[in-house]
Amino acid sequence: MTTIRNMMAVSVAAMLGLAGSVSAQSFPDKPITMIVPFAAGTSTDTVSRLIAERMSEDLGQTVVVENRAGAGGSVGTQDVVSSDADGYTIAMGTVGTLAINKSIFPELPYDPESDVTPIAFVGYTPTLLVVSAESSFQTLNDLVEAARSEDGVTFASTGNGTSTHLAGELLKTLSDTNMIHVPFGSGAVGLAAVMSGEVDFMFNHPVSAKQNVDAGKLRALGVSGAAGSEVAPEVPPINDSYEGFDLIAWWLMHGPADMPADVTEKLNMAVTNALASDAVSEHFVKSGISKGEIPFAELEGFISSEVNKWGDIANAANAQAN
Amino acid sequence: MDLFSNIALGFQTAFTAEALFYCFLGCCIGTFVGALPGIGPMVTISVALPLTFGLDPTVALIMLAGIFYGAQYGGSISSILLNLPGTASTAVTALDGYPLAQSGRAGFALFINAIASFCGSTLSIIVVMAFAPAIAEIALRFNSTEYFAVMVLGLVAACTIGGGSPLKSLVMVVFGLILGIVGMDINSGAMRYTFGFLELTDGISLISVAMGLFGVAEIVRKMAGPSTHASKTMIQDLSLASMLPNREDLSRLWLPILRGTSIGSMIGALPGAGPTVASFMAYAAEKKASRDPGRFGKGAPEGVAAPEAANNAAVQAAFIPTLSLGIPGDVVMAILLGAMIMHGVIPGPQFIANEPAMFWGLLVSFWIGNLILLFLNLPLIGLLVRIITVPSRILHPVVIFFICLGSYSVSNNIFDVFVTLVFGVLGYVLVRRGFHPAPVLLGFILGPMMEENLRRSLVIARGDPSVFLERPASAVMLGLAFLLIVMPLRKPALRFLSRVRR
Amino acid sequence: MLRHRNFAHDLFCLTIIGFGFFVIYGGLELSIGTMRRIGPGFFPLGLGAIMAILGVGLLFERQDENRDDTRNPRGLIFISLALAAFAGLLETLGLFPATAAMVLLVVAAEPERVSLPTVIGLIAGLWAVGYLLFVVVLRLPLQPLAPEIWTMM
Repeated sequence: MTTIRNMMAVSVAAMLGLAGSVSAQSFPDKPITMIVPFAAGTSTDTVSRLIAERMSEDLGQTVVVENRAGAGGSVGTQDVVSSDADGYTIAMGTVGTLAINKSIFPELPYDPESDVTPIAFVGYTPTLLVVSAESSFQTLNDLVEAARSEDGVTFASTGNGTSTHLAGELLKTLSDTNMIHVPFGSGAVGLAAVMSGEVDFMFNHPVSAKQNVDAGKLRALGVSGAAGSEVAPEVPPINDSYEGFDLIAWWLMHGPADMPADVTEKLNMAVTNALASDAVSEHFVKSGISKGEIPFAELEGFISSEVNKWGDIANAANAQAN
Repeated sequence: MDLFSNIALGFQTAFTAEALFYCFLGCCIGTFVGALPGIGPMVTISVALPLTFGLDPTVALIMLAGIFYGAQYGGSISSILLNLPGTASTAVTALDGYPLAQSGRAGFALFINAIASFCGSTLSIIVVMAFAPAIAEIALRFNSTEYFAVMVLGLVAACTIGGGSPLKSLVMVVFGLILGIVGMDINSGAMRYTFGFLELTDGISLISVAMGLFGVAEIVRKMAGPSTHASKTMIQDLSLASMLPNREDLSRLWLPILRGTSIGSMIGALPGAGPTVASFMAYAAEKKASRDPGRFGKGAPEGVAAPEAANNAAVQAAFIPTLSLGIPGDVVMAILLGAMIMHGVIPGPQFIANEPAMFWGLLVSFWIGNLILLFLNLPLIGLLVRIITVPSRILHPVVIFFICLGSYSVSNNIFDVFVTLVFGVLGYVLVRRGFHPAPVLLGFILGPMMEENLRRSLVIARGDPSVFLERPASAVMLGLAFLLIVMPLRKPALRFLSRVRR
Repeated sequence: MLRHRNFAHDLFCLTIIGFGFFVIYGGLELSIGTMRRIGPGFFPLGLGAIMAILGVGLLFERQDENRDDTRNPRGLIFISLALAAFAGLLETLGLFPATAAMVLLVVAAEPERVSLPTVIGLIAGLWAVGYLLFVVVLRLPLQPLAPEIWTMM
């Protein structure tokens, strides 16, 4: 390779590099980054990618999904919170990152109540309480009775401080019984443990749980949301037996604090349109996710109430990451 | 028979022009990406995911799966040529593959790699086709106690891997276990040995450890080696005759390949254990079964054939729990699972019954893909071998470049590059002192899983440790591990005792 | 000569023992837990103890001649600097300066001199390939040449 060709190659590449830094007036004029604070393949990731695809069409600019998993979603969320509030970096928040983590991680670097601009409510899903089909528990009551014994019963979760863990803790608190928490790294492995009878019960995502219920491997004893589950309408809400048990997993798109109002509004519209699209609607139905009806103005209040609700549960369970 | 009609259905699905094209594409990308140090199938599949949106779900999965098992072929290429494992599961291949390449027989090593990989995959696919639901059931019955026992067995096997004293290998294994502890403990949420670094919350990056210990350390060593003075380029035997295994080689290799495949299929079917564990165990088993274990580590062809058959077999078998139970075998499988869900397909017990065309189409495409990979890799061997004939003054910066960017690209964090640096220095020191880095990797991977399963077993057993001996499978494996530790100690123990008696 | 070798080996064994104690110390700060629920400190404690014991065992082991004798402290320093330079410059100044610094330092580690055209070719080639592969295809958030450079001029 001759020196001149080298130099030309270098200068062309340099000019390409410069081109990226020219800015324009209206939003959006360059690709938007949507940070997903969980690994690829998780339910949050799936929902985010489907929505990002539709948003790209709507906004005329690519919405690029970036996975930044870690510390229960805190790493990715912190990255977004600390980025510029220009609307080009947004995140898919979850009940974990925006509500639970505040109580679980005492040194959480961000405050979901003040460091975040909510953009739009994406959806929610309750969880199903399942036991092995081979177990002797036919109703929720059977389970609770067994938990009164000295040995107690065990329940699986997707990790310490996750919504599935705290759901079990809430049941334990409300029923005042001996329920032993067994954390697992992933929901799927935990579910397998329930199926094989190694662990007694688990709160799990309705669709994966329902599949196995239909296949005769699991039995669903209750729904965590007071409104029941669309995927499994015959299963009674736990709220019927224990007043005050109303827990759902939800997703909420957000950006860093103090985002300009017009930018936020545009993003909100894009998300709303994405939610109305066929692809997303179909996926929601198949996955048992319900669309939320929380108006934009009430999003901040919603986050606060969730922080408090989960905070109370976490305190009662003394579940802190030390 | 039902199996044949299913396979016929699979052929129908997989033999369309579209499916074949994307299968080919996936395999090519996978091989390329697997060979590059640092970039792995996980990153690639995540990037390729949005690109598959417009495709038919079966075709999309065929391509993504092709990337996955293609990477196993590619990863061993850089292990053999550069002592730089492209993927963690190919680290063991470097133990004998790299010496083979250094002695001028790189083509031979690559050839065996291709054949063993192909055999491992194909045989495993047949097993999957015939027994998937049954295997899934058995895998389901494996609980934390058995997992713990399997991992203990795997770790004990790792101690026999490194050349040199078993005591030093044991130190390396324990070192790997300790490294695996760094990060947040999922059971309690406590931070262990993170020293305030947020980047360490999820542990030390495996790629950084592997790149540093193997790649960086090796390059520093090579720079001082005599070859840079005597001959700047590595002389390789490029004749076709030297690359092809002769009859004697083949007769020596078919048994290691079979052993590797069986170990790989069994381990791969267990969710959580993966191709890395399988390759380590296959290597250790091969060394134990060999009449002349001293050859291992210096260029024994079985040392390439067995782990390669194992890791490819394990990768194929990992689809069993993923497809039939919806439980991903490892992180990459989890992404594939997510891809399936995104395309509207929910894997699980109903999957095989509800979507037979997709299931059997996928399995047949695996076989086609492996065939493609075989015919892709073999002609490339000549070209690949020339890579290490490139003068080292050009090769070294290129390799370091990919190590740097590869380490960085895992989490887009320069912290990881610094970690690679630290492990590079460490690797240099360790090799100089006679310690081999390979067992560190296995300890690093197995450590956290082993601890998790130990703690979980005890919680469920309400604190009673006899559970490990009560469950038959666990008792057998732990007993085996115990024997493996005790047997080599017999002679020195007897010697010691006789000295004491005098 | 023999004494020199043993000294280095002994020193390393002491380092291993020390490392073991370091791990034990870290483990003690965490809760060990009970048999019913093992705490985060149990495993580190056990492993640290095993490490220390192994270190002691190694002290008694007869040193075999199986060691690798290639010394290259100069190479080690330069390669380490190359990695450090890359890491340090990548996000601040961009991919091109990082690549250039890294190549220069790796080349400096080579025992023989490398010609200038080769160096320039390496820098340009690697930068181009790296940019295409990692930034364009894999969409890493990297600047080929960070804008800050221009503001500095």
